[in-house]
Amino acid sequence: MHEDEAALIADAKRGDRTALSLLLQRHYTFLVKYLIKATMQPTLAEDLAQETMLKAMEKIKLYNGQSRFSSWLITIGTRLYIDSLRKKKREIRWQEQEQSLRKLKWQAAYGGAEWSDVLDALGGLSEELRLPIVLKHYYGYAYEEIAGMLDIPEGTVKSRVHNGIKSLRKELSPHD
Amino acid sequence: MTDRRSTDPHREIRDIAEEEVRPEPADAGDAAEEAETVRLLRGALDRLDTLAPVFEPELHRLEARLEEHAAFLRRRLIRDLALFLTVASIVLSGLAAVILKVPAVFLLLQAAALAAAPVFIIGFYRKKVNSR
Repeated sequence: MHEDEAALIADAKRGDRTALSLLLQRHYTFLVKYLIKATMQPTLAEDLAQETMLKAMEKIKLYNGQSRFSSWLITIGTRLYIDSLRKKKREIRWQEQEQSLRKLKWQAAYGGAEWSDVLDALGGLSEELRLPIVLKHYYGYAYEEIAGMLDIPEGTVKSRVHNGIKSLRKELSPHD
Repeated sequence: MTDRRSTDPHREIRDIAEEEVRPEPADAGDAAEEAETVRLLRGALDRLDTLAPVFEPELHRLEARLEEHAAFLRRRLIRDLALFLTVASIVLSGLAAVILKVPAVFLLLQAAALAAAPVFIIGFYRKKVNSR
């Protein structure tokens, strides 16, 4: 951990609000980018990031430095996302996901950027498959760490990553 | 991709992960296909970063938001404590009145609670077993 960051964390744990704000500001972009990948919904990702900041303030005294501060924030954000999913009906969740993907596609077309079929396939996966895939194959976390983040057994993470990649391969296969 | 990696605090972890997806000789064809899917996935997620730009909040705004939330938490704590103390004092004064004025009712309530406890416990475990 960076010395400067360690000092900020220590100050934040002592109740220094400016140190905490600085710490959260430094990790904000990273957190939102992660949440966009996890949710595939930029608006929801921004909302979850705001909630994560507030939750981090409430729980900062419990941060024990065993994981990186960014990983700790990711864990809080992921759990808030999972909680928000539990509160919504499956149909509403699906509609929101579809709307968001359409909006992203439109943004890509408007900005002259190329849209990837992989994003469509990833957006079509259930959250329980998408989250471990993003954490494992994009952020490079170990299965054990992901299990801790998602609060599920390590074996479940392995099978979800495996099944998720299999589904993606099937979706992207030219024979289908 | 270059942008993200240069500012990504997970850079080292990510590099290890890249090594992990190399094809295994045992099932080389399958593993190669999987590695290709992962490569495409990373590329697509990198592209997603450019599609949805993120704006870092200003420090003073963030600080004000945290301050506001801290005030909300303080207010909620005071409200919860007040509610707890009110309910506790009502229950305790009611109990004291019953014990002092009509002890028979108090003893009856104690006996009823003692008898109801095993019924509730058995019912709770039965429900748990059924739901599995």
